Amino acid sequence: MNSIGIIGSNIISPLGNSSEANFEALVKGKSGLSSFSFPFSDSPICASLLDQSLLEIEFSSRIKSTKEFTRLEKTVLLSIQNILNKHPFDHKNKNTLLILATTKGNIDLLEKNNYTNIPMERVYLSAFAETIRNHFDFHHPCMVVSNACVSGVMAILWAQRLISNKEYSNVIVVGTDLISPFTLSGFKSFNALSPEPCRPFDKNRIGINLGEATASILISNKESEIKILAGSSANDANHISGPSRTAEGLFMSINKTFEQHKNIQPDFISAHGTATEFNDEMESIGFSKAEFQKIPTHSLKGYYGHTLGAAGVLETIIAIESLKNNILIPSRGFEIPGTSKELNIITKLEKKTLSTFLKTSSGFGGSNATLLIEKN
Amino acid sequence: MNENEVIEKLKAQIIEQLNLEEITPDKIDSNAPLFGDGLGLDSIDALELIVLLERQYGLKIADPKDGKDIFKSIQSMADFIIKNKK
Amino acid sequence: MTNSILHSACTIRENKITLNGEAIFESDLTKTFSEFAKEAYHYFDLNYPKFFKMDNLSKLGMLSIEGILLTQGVRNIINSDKCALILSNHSSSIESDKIHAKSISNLVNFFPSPSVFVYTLPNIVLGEIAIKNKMQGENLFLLSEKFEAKQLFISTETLFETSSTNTAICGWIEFDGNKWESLVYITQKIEDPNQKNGNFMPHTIQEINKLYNA
Repeated sequence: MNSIGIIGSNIISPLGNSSEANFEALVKGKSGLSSFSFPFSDSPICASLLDQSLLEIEFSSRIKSTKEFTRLEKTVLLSIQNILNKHPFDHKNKNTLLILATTKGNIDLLEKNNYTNIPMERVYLSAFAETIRNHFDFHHPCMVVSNACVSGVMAILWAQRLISNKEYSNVIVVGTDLISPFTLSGFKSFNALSPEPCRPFDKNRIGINLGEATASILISNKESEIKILAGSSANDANHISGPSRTAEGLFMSINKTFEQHKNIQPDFISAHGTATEFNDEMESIGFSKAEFQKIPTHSLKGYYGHTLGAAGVLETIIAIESLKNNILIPSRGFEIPGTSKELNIITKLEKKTLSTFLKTSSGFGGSNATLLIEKN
Repeated sequence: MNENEVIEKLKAQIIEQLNLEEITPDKIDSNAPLFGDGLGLDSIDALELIVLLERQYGLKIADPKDGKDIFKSIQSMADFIIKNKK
Repeated sequence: MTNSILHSACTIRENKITLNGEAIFESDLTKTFSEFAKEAYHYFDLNYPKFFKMDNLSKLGMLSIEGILLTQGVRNIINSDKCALILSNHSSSIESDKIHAKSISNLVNFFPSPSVFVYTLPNIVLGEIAIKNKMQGENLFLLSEKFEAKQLFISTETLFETSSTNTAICGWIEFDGNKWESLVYITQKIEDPNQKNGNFMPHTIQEINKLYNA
């Protein structure tokens, strides 16, 4: 696999509307998590939600259109526009592809009275994608990836593969999802939600928080300081919602990713770390099997919550900012080791020379996907 | 309702809620383990049983870890229902 | 120029299962999908009780794979971490989405079901196939407006060129109420381009479309 360059990125999240603003917020220890009331829940829910009114202001100032857009579409349009403003190029040519990674897209269209002027048709992911495509006039229909929580990492991986195989020169990858009663109630029925800020890898972790974000990356065959060296995916083939107890799929993916890079020890790992009992335990086993248990490791879910389709892209961007700034971001919510294989969890902000990181993700359906990224 | 009636009703509800095709109430041993061997239910089934208790009997399981004893077998579920049903 | 071949295609439409162009099982058109699926389950002698916990999308996917497994040797080919699963559809998991949305639409009768919610992701069908057939290779689930042979072709060829994957089950598993259909087929990278592949088709967009339109 040829090394392919990452040219630019953007994040729309409760912590800011640029990658730099988000990284700065994390350096300052800020978190997007807060307590919210929902009609269907007797107790408050801890989540990371976008400020709707701020989003509207930002959107109106940057996007000129007479069309009606859903909440999700607005964040996606904004994020892509921010990338194009910072890194203008002929994005309408046939060498450019947009990949959208999302688990549920405009699922809030299924809820009564959310939008009066938007056709129900837009709940279908291809219609949502076409709306985005038409606004920017992309040449090709968007590639839409929906692979549960690994969608974001998967989309970056496939961008790298498609460019490597000379199908395209430039790919914009956008990871996005919003939080609504649909997802909240679903995870609640799984008993997976933590009422407080989540504690990835911690002994007292009791579940996830959900979060909203849209994150975009511009990937190209051009030379860049940041390169995607390798990546892969593998399925546990074990259970549709529980990770493999032996971390089979994750370990296989890590092995495949490092196959051509056996001499590289990543400087840090940006783990999936959802703060469920089973995911974090599984990751500790997988990292230990790969002999990575001493490598500084964090999860960003303690700042952003689990942003589902956006997670892989958002967390990869933050890891890239870490590389650029030579700063390790601590794993918020972690105090006491809580996995059977002890990991080297980053507990404080640290200035350190960094060259490579491993990004991991795992999701419902048994998929695991990993990326190895390097800074020159 | 007497204990037998509770058990029979529960068996029928579980078969329906968990989509246990081709299993009839008479094939289920009330004392056999629900998880592991016996009916071989899994983690999603466990969550569905919690929903079943709440929906059909108004009984909320405060801590899912308590679930282990309650969901050991049909008999233990029936005991819990009889003991707690309002 | 492709160095890969295409074979063992199974389509399921209108209560009929077709393997490599030949109808192998059919149910009366008056039967619902559920009834048809149960009959097909018995036809294949599936012996897999978990099937009945699946939603319709996953049932359709599972049956499609059972179809291609009838071809001799396929079970061995797919049981490898070098075999990928590349599936697609238009409607994602819309049926399960609607059932879940309905279960939470009334605050008074609010009982979301975890076994419904888990199926509100289109890649679960991929997961179910992977579990039953012990497939630990690459995965990808794509959404498009209609069946896109070009996208499946490019994705498969790209994967063959950029990874150690040398086999893929590709397909379209679509379920949206009364509108449902599926097509799955196998593609394999050929090591020696000069090798004679008498019974196999070359892996091309045209051949893929022929399978879908058959």
